[in-house]
Amino acid sequence: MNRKDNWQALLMPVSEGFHNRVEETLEQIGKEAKSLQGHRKRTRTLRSLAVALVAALLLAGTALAVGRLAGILDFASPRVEDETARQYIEHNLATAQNGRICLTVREGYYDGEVARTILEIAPVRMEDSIVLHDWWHYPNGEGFFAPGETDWQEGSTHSISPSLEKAALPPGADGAIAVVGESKNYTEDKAEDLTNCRATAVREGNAVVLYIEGRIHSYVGKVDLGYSVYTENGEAVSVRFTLKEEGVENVPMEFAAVEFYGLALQKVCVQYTPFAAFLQVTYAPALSGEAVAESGAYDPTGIYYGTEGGHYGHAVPDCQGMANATEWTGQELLDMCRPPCPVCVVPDSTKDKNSFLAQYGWTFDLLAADGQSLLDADSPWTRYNNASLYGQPEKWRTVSLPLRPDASLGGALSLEPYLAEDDIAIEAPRIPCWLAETAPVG
Amino acid sequence: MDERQFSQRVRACEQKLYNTARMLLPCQADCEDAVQEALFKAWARLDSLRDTGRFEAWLMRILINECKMLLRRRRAHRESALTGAEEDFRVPDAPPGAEEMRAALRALEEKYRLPLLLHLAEGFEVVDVARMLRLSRGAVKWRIHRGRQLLRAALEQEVRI
Repeated sequence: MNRKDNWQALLMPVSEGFHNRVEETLEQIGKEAKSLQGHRKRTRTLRSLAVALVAALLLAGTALAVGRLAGILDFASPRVEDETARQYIEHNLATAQNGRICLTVREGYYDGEVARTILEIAPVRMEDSIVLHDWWHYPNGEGFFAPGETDWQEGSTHSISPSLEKAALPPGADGAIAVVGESKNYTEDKAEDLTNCRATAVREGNAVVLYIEGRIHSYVGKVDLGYSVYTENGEAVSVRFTLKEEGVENVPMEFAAVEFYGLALQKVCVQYTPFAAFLQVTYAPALSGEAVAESGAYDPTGIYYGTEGGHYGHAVPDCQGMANATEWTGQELLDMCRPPCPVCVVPDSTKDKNSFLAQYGWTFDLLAADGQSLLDADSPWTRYNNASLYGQPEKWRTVSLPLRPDASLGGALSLEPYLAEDDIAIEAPRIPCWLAETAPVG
Repeated sequence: MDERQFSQRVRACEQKLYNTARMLLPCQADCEDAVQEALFKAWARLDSLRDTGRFEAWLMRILINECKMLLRRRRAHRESALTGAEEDFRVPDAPPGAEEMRAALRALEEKYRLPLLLHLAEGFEVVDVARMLRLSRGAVKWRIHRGRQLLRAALEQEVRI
């Protein structure tokens, strides 16, 4: 049996119950399709005309684009309000070169949630050409990297084998300079290689241009970023630049004062940018009784401090300037389900970004009156919904959740909280909320 | 794609749907609920599928989302579907070593288990797995690589992968 057979042997035959459910569902779909056929025919005709018109316009736009260098708006997602975005996009943010490679950050835009940049990697010598090197090689020699794949229209991720790319070099190109890259988020002191960013690559002559998106929620209104590009023999060239948050409109939401021991909401708002809309919820994280108990942060017989209106249990009576503290035992705090203060109770070993506090974060769904989610499950940023802790006030944290482009925010809405960590179950009531003023259409 | 073609395509990938759901959800009833919801949603959103050649991967992504939403609802309501005894995954007449490998695969974290199953067992391309799981291709490849390392360690070389 070969290796492929070994893996396929893992597949289980379909159970009778599953098969029956599939068939019942398809039968029901078939009935609905027949009853709607008349309506759909008319709708589809109109939609086809609209699609044809849009396609014609796009082709015209593409023809105009020939000869123009790639920019952020060429890779934009459907929501983008081009004219609004255009005014905020910065140009020629940074450039650097060594003897072989020249890096230029041609464009950049930061909307408080996502940093978008256009990075050009060009050879210094005209006889050379840049290729991207896919460095995911497996020790046993199996190659899992994709063959050359460039799709300008769809903007798919570009991962190529140097040998394949060399065959497609522009005429007259002498040598191929294979490069790998790294993005650096100086704001969060974090580096990641460019295969883990959302990056799309296109070729412009003997240069390669990357459109890079990075999810960064900054509390300080700007992000400090950098890119480093390395050749196979380790030569590096780096650029560093700053993007300020621009083009953002925050529309506050009001919410009901639902009493819930595990969660304290501070602020809810919708953040509109030219590229997307986000629901932002600022809250004080709290824990289920089980989680507090399991944390081991409290000694049940120990003495702790806190105030009646406060949120945490503290190990010292004057933590962070607290005054008039009441004494409680650890057991009383466990019974009250008070989370331990991340400053004075959490052990030193956990006082970092992976701290006790970060491990038990809340996230939310936003529901319309009919219970449908208004969040964009297809957004690439949905899974990055817990905001960075960098620079934020100690107690509160913010989650930013992408909204569906067609989300209608009028009327009665509700927030549905749930714990971001999968292994802690907790009941959480829905919290009614609504826009405090008329919001722009998303 | 009309309803007949939709049904044909669904039936053609039924085993992949089943195995993916079973890897995410421990009980049969939940798998059946998830696939039902996924099929209704896929049918309702069929117009949004631009490339019918990617139908399988597109449908799989919808199913994965449904499975995860069902898991979340179960946990929020403290239902015991996750803590009750998992249903038996044994398959009669399975090739030697398959049961051990299946058990080891299920013991992996989901972030390694799913890419392994989708790419190596169900044959989806890395690019499609990346779209299904909303990861970069580099991240998918790394998780496949790491998952295989962990699987090997768990099986202690008893089954040749």
